[in-house]
Amino acid sequence: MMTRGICLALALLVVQGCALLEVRERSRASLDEGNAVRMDKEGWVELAGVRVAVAASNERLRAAMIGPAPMVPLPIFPLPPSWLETHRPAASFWIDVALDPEGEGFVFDPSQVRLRFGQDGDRRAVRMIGPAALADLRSRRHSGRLCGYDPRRASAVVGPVAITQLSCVSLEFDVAPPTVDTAFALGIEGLANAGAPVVVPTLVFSRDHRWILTPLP
Amino acid sequence: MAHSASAPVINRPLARARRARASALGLACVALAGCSLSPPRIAARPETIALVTRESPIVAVHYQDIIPARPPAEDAPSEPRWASVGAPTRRIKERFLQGMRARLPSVEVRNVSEPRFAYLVRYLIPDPHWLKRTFGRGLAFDFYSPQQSVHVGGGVLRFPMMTSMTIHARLLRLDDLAVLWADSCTFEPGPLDRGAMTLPDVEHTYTTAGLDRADRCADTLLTAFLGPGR
Repeated sequence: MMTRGICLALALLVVQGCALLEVRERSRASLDEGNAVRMDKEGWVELAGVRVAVAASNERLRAAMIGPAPMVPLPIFPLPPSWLETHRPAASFWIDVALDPEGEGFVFDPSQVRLRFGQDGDRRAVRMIGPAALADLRSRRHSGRLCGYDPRRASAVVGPVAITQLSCVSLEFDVAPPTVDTAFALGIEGLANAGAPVVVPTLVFSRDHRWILTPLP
Repeated sequence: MAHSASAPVINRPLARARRARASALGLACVALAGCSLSPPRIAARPETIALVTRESPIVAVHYQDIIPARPPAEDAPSEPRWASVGAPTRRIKERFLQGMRARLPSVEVRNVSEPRFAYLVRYLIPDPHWLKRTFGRGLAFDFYSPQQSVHVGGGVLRFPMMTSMTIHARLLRLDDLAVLWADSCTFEPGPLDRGAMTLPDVEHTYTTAGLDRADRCADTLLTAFLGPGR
């Protein structure tokens, strides 16, 4: 009887699967307080005729827990983050810039984007990829990145591109990804609509964390 | 009288069972409709054709037909290992427009050369909201092909065989996003060219025979839109 009960419990566990809970840390963009422009919950900054969102690629897994999901998920067993994140530390820092324009008149020049770490001076992108499609919701949720990639478009020439639809440009900066405790700012200049510059407020990045609950088969 | 009085008592479980069966059938229909991957076919009415001959602006767009799927390497970009490949939608769109200009010379359609990114919605077809956001008003033809994953290594296709390709074509009124015409056609792409995966669009990966079949698909769509008599 006891054995049958254990077997049944195990079978239920196998059938119903597990759940993985991840706690991830990242640098999240925000606007200075007092700015007339607002950022929505998904990180889009609404400007005249265009929405802009950015994501930094310095996200790191802080903690993970796994556990059964009989009726409600119970991720109660801690996992070392190194078991889940096996990629080597990145040598350069990528920032994704997503643009959602209205109309066909927008041009974006990523060479005018400036990354600022305190008083260290400005850094400019050394390589760009895109414009590419925005990553789907699930990829964005799991990777924290905005762009769906198209490597054929990787270019060492960082220059103006027409933005005629919801698009994403990945910019590579020649610096190691900062820790989430490092404050930095991104100045997006070089965005214009029919030749008229569009002023994007400076985006400041600060530490943030997010929880991701994933059902496992 | 007794018989008629007792009839409802006897029939009540039967009626309940019938209602339950009808409800189950209804729910199944709703579920199946929700799961269906084929968008409904909408025939072009004579007034739709008349609208096309006098409306301006009209744009024609196609969606990105090849996507090597790999995030940027953190040191240097390398070859993609998987790619999503669809039908040559640019070529099909241009053949469709060429045929339409020949049969309806008064129609002026702007052919948008840059492919659109497909943000899919119900029936796994592109959301027309994004066309409205870009082009604002008027009519829009769009041509979309669901993609198949192929394995690519060292810049060449490892398994170049594809299954049938489908092209979905629509005519949309952008003001209210009404679908005025929707149809699709299917063709056999045949084997793809193994060495052509680094080229900028999917057309170069098709053999001549595969492209001929795609052209016939465009002709079928045009006939479906204009009707056989035109």
